[in-house]
Amino acid sequence: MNPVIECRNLVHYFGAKPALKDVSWKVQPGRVCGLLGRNGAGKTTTINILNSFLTPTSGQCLLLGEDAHRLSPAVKARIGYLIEGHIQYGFFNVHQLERFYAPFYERWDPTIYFHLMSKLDISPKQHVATMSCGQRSQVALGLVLAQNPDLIIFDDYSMGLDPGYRRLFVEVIRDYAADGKRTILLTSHIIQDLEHLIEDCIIYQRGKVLIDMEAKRLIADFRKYSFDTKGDFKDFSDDSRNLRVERGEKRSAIYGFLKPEEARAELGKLGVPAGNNFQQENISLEDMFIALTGKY
Amino acid sequence: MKTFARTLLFASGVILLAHYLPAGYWLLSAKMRRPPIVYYSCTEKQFMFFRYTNQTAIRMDAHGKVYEREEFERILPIDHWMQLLRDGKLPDTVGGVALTAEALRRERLSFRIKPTMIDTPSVNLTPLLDADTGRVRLEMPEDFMRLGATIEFIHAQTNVVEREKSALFQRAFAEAGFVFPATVLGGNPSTMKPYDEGYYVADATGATFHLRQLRGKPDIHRVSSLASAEDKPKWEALKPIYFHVQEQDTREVHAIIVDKSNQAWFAVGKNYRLVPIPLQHYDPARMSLVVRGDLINRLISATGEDSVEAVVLNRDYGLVDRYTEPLVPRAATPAGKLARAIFPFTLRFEDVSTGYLGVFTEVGSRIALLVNGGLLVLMLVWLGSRKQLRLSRLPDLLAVAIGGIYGVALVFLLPKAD
Amino acid sequence: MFKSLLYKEWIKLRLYWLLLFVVNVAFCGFLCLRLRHVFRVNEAVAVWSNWIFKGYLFYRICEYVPLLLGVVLGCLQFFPETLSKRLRLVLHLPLGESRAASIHLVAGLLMLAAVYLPGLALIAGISAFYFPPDFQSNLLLTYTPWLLGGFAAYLLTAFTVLEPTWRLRVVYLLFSAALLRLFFMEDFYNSYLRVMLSLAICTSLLFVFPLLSTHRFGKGYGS
Repeated sequence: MNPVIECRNLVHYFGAKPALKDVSWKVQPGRVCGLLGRNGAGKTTTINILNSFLTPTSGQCLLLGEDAHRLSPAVKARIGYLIEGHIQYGFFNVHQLERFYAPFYERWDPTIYFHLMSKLDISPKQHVATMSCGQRSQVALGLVLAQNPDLIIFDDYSMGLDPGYRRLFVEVIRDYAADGKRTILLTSHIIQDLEHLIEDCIIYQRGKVLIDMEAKRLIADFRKYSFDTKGDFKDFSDDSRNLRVERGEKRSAIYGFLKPEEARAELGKLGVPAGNNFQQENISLEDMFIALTGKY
Repeated sequence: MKTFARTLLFASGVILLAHYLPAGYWLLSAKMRRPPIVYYSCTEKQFMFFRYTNQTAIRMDAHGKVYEREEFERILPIDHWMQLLRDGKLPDTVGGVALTAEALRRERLSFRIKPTMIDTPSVNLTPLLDADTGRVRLEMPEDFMRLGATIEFIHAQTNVVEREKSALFQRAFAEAGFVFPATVLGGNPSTMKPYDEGYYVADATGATFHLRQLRGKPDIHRVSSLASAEDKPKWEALKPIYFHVQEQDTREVHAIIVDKSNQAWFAVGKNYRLVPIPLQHYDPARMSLVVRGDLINRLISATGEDSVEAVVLNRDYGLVDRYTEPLVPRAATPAGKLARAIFPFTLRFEDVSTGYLGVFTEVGSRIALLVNGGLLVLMLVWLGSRKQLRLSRLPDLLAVAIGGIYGVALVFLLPKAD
Repeated sequence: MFKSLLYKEWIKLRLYWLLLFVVNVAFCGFLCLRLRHVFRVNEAVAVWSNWIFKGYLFYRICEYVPLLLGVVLGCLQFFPETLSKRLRLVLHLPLGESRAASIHLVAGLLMLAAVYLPGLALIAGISAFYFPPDFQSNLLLTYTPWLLGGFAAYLLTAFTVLEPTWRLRVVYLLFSAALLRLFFMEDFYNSYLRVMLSLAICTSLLFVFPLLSTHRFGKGYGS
């Protein structure tokens, strides 16, 4: 099966500063993929390249089999894009927006759009510019979904949204993707929302791909072991092995794709005394993300 | 599209820089360059000059002798008669001609024809004054004349064609043998003059007619039919491009006419005597013609960028003397040579030769070509060193090859190819 | 799709357009009143003599109005597209980038024409009342470079505003000022007669410049 999204050896520099260092990954059809990373890791750069708003220094992106920078209108019609900040035309009201977008898309189905609009507390002639952030996000979401696209790219869908709207977003995306016919790529800083949503997880670290695997496998295999702190040692991290050791005042922890004995062995190699109460802890996707990418 | 747009941007940039950079250069480097004012001394029988050099003015003769102001004025008594009269130094006679204030004032002639007067946009509406209303002063008529494919008069207050008057004049034109449309029209539509000469009009065949309005009636004649037997063939052969009518107290000169072969003529006297002005290098498109006449002589000078020529005619329009002097054109000055070396070409949109806007080009010297070539080589090397020598940079290279320094500036200012 | 984009620009600009329309019509109406006043307090032949023969361009106060209107409309139309990079919404639509940008420009040019023409009609109308056809054609031919300057100003404003980098915006601003000056060199009726066609062609060629800026915006220059 051909991937819906494919990035091949992306390299990009902003001046002399590298933003992407040979990034390659794919998203298969029907998958919901989360592109995660800390601020400045390269996510937005990648999204901009995917949407042909940025030309990479080298490398290539393919969307639905076509070069992302030379997409035919027919393929463009199959791709929905929610811009960071839920940007839309503020001078339109919801009906005018629908009237504007509908002729561009053959598969336009306004049902879901008007369904979402009916839930908003807005008047029919209210301009988008006068809506709240959450209301604007629903308008933007509704328009994307009404396109009936095969691929949707959500660029930081959670920006500026309160928990209610964030939950609404996640539920709508989950319902929309349930039939397995749509491919979704989304980025967000609110990791806890994505835990039960994404099927694939790509984590960026300093312009490189740190993790590229199924979310289930990440959650199952990436573990935290905590132990009583004994002796003096420094924090340690190794991106190539996704390994991190953190020293706490009372309790310390080791993170990695490790079984318990492997974890003890790593501590031994590092000369970190594994104190008492060595135990595995359940951690959330957010904890894993922080462990993998660090706090600073 | 983007290559076309970028190419167009470079082309526009070269055109704009070719206009503005030289203009800026001359704004900074221009110095006073005025041609000499030519006089003719009726007492010394020689040309005298008022020359401007290095922000000063010098009075000299043709041999280079410098004169103080009082001496200069004494040698040119008619040109400075008012000052001499005030100082009590005006001679009583010169060459047997009595110099009285009244005669000096009356017998003055002064005309100036600039190139922009000849080729200039105009509105095809002009007032035809009534030359014989019976009033002391001339009055502006209530209508304007439109002379083109027909002749019509439009009443200014009502903006309506005066059908009767128009028909009357149309018949008069037909009777005079005028072939429409009118091609050249010359007159002086002002009431601030001693009398009204009317208009001189060339018809479709190039024949010259004299048109006046007398007590509301048309007065139009083919000039050649009124001229003497000697002048008639000259009028018939004349192909005028410009009539200069400027009524003066002497009532001597009907008009100055410029024809297609760049010859200027006086039309003088009762029988429309056609006198050629014997200038040898007059180019109406590039030179100003100044006529200063007095009790004794007529001095006609034609001044251009690279020469000044003057002829002196006596009262009977016989040649008395002539003078020619080459001037250093701006392009030949040190600043001009430098400009021609660094600017491969210059574009102007206005020119002394015409009142119309157009595109006027001056090409640089051979050194500018070499400079262009050198800059192109440097650009190729520079782009090559940055590994940017590709087809998409062709507009840049063309701009440098053709525009020299203009192109180089644009390569750094304008957006690079993808 | 063409209609949709025109619809979008109309909704975006309709109130501003109305304001510009009213301002231009009011200005031209004021000019008409002034013209009427001049003919009521002066002899017609004296006015004709001064205005026709001596080349006094009585509507010279209109000279820069089309340019200002073009600049204002260009700013009102395209600045919002650059805020938060809203232009990406259009560039993401399933049609070519050049086509999308061209339709925006066509919308703006049509709206500008709809602002200019009524004012021009007013001036032409009042001139027809007081002056013969010869002079009216002189008036209109003299006004034409200013009108072309207005369209050029609009296109150059779009060109400058859509450019994503500030360095080039400054360059384009200077470029635009230098180019626009060439539309306002008239000092007598019909001075542009011999170059009018070239001027019109050059103005129409300016259409491609905003497409270049849009292309650069889409490529992420200045990000």
